[in-house]
Amino acid sequence: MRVLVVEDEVRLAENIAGALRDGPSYAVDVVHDGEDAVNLCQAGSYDLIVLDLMIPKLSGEQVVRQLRTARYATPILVLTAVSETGKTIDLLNLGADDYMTKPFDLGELIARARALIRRGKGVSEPLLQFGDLRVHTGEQTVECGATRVELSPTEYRILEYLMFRPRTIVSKRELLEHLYDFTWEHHSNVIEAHISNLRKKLRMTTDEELLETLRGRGYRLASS
Amino acid sequence: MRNDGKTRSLTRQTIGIVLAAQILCTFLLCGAALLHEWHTRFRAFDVRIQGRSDSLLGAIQDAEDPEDNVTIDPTELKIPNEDVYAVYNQGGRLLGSSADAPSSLITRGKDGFHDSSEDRTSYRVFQREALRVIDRVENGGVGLRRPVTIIYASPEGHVWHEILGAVRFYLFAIAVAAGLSFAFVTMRLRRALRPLSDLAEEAAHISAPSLNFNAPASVLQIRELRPLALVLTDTVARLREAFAKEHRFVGDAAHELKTAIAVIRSSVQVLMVKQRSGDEYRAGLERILEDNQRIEAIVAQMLQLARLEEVKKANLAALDLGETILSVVTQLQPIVDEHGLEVRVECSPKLLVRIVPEAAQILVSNLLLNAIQHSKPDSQVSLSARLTASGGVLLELADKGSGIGPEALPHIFDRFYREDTSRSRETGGTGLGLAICKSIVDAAGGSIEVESTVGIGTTVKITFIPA
Repeated sequence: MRVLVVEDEVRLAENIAGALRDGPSYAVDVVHDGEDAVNLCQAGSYDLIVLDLMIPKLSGEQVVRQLRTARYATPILVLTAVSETGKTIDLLNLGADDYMTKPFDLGELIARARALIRRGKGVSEPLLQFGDLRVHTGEQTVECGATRVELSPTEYRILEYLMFRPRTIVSKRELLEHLYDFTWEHHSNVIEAHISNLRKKLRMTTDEELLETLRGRGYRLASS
Repeated sequence: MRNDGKTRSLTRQTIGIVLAAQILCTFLLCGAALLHEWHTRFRAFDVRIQGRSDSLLGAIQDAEDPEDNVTIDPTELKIPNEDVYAVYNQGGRLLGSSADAPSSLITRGKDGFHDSSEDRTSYRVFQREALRVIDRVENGGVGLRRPVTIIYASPEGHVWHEILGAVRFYLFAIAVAAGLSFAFVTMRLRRALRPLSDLAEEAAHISAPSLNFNAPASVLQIRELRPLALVLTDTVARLREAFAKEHRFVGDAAHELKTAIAVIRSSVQVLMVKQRSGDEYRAGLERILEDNQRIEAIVAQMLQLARLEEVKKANLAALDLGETILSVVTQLQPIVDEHGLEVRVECSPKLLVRIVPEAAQILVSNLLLNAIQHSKPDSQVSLSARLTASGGVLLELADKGSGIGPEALPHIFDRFYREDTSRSRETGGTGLGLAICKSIVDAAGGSIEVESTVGIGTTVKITFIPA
């Protein structure tokens, strides 16, 4: 999952990004003003936007309005210093999905981020299931039948992303965009290596070929 | 103003005044009517009495006795029953009188009219001398002259009755007229004073959450109320602006402080998320200490700003700005050296400015720190102060820094405004420094201007009024 953090206080942005990278191992991009936020959203594909309300150039409110007017559907979590009910009602009505009042708990931020991403993909349960395969998004563990599958963080991220969209083809490019932040050098063979490792680990627990490769088109979770 | 809880109604008060004026008027008119009636009716009464005494004279006849006396024959006399009369001859003998005439009334006195009372009835008494000529035919047309004295009295009760009747009529007519005019005045007055209650009603809607006042059209049409309504409109509008400004400041301050606190909290949480080495903890704590310094700076500057706004201009001694500049430059020399800059100071002697000494220090050091932070390394900052033609002091500070963009220039004195898009730790600004400078200059009655070209540098010019 890839998250955009929009916060003009550099240290706070660093801490939020660090927590989201370390905890749920999301790819995180950080920008410090509203204009950059809108531009990046139009260019990249994010699964969640964490948005501070008082930012230079374009205010948080304006960013929400512009994104929602452009039918940009990614969940938005607003960070605000104001705890006035009227203001938060306005924000939610504008199209924000949730808000947190500063100072906030990083653990709560991560939990809300997870919930918002899940909801953004149309899933209500934190447990993702496909055939015998079960992914616990909270603890970031994977089980196949009764056996636990040990995965590296990147392998887990790939599997989780695919589990959110079973039976649909996910291109290599899409995977790259959603799993790495913009500081990462994009090499498609990195993905291929991780996919191949993931497939090997899954084969050890089940006879079924769960992870399909469709040449030139991408990958798909499918049951035969 | 003292307010003991009692209120007076202007409408009622005015109606009361009108009512009192009308009652007074009624009394005066009735009094005048009474006087007038009294005067004319008594004149007529006197004339009437005179007439009746004439007819009494007509009733005096020859007594047909040897002395050729006269006598009175009342059978032909047509006078009111309650009237009293008496006729005396020259010798003072009573020739005749009305039946039961009280002696006090018919006693002879002076000629003319006078008032007398008998048995609780007041009478108008008339006494005259008259001449009756008898036996004209028998004496060859000359006749015998018989002088008589006539006393005629008539009770005044009738006249008083008439006067009171007339006055009663006037009283009734005046009361009806006053009642009608009172009703009319009351009606008109309520309508005329309606703008007052409109104004009060509109003013009652003013409250802290909704600082709005629109003077009703009815009020603006009244010459006496128009200035009040306009002043109220203006005051409320200014109050609203001031409130909005304060509200914005509180919102901005809350955001800054909460963000700074959020930084510390998140830094602590990041540190605690897993087991770390002693060095890592130490580095983390150092970062938190650094974050804490930012909160301290924001709080200190906010307090400074609040304190500066309270300072009164009165009783301020003039201080030499040159000395302040030199002391600040000496204080900041280590920071100047650290940035590899050169500060060139040019000060004329005796630059007197009426300003709080602490405020002058803050002003110069804020400006200089700002210039230092935005200067290119190894460049020069020049600080000069001199007297202007009008006797004021011009303080000029020029740096060869990055400059300020034209879109940012109008906002640099706004509280919490920062030109950098991010709150980077390098510049360390709180966004309050220049707002504080402006506040200080405003309090000292000066003006502050900034000229800047991106990539070339910035010049700040402050002009103080003569001390």
